[in-house]
Amino acid sequence: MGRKRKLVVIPLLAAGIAGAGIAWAAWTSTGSGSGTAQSTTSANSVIAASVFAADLYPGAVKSVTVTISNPNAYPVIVNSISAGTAPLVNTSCVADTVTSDARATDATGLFQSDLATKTIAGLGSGTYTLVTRMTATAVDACKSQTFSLPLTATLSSNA
Amino acid sequence: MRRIGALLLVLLVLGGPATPADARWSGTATGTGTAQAASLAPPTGLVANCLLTTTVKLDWSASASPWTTGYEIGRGTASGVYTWGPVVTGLTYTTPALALGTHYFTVRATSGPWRSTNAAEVSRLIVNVLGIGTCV
Repeated sequence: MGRKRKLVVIPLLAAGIAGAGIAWAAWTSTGSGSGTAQSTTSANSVIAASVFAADLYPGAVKSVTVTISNPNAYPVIVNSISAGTAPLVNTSCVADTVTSDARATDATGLFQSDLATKTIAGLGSGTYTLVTRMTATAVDACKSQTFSLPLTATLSSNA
Repeated sequence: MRRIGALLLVLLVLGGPATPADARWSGTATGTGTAQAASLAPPTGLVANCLLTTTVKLDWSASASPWTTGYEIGRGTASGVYTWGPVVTGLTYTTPALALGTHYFTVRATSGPWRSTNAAEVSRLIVNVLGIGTCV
């Protein structure tokens, strides 16, 4: 009887240790991020412009779409995207002429542009829509210019 | 020995392996979005027709830019040198009475502070016919 119990316990112990190892491995990747939990070194995501907000004119409110990539093997969600302000474009078209609104923090993740998806799959990317504005006082020198909007997003793993 | 085995089993069941919920990673992403400002297309097809004796009626076709909010009239007595104004919202404008001489006209689209390039210039001559200014 005692011998039988030992045979049962040892495989269970082994399975438990192996399971813990799998859980650990799922949260380890290369790169660096500002980790807040036990197991993270992770590659930082990148924001890239995916679709231009075309045809901005004085007083216009348009949409710009950005893509956020997830270089990690595990899924992530985007919790917030900062406001953006375009810097000086030329000597006359001043900074702040074009801005984008922040996407407010959502612990459950921001909706992507399809208004249905929140999770970015491992090694995938997601597109997010931002409201972009040109001031009504934008001068003539702003015509036909391209404006870059520096953005920062916060992300967290979602598995 | 039985007690030790049972204890290990209980610990495994209660403790279990580490779960992903225990290990949420957070980080930041940086980059840029891009926005593109529009251009402003000029009106086209400007024509100047004599109206009454010393006034001229200007007509033109709309700018191709849907964000056009108005049209600014340019007028002068030398080609390419204009005094600007007024801004109108329609596609026609009648000048006030003009002095004798050649008058040059153009029009440009506006969108807030923006101005398009000028439409092709047109001109009209006001001459003295029997003591009366007459547009020809």
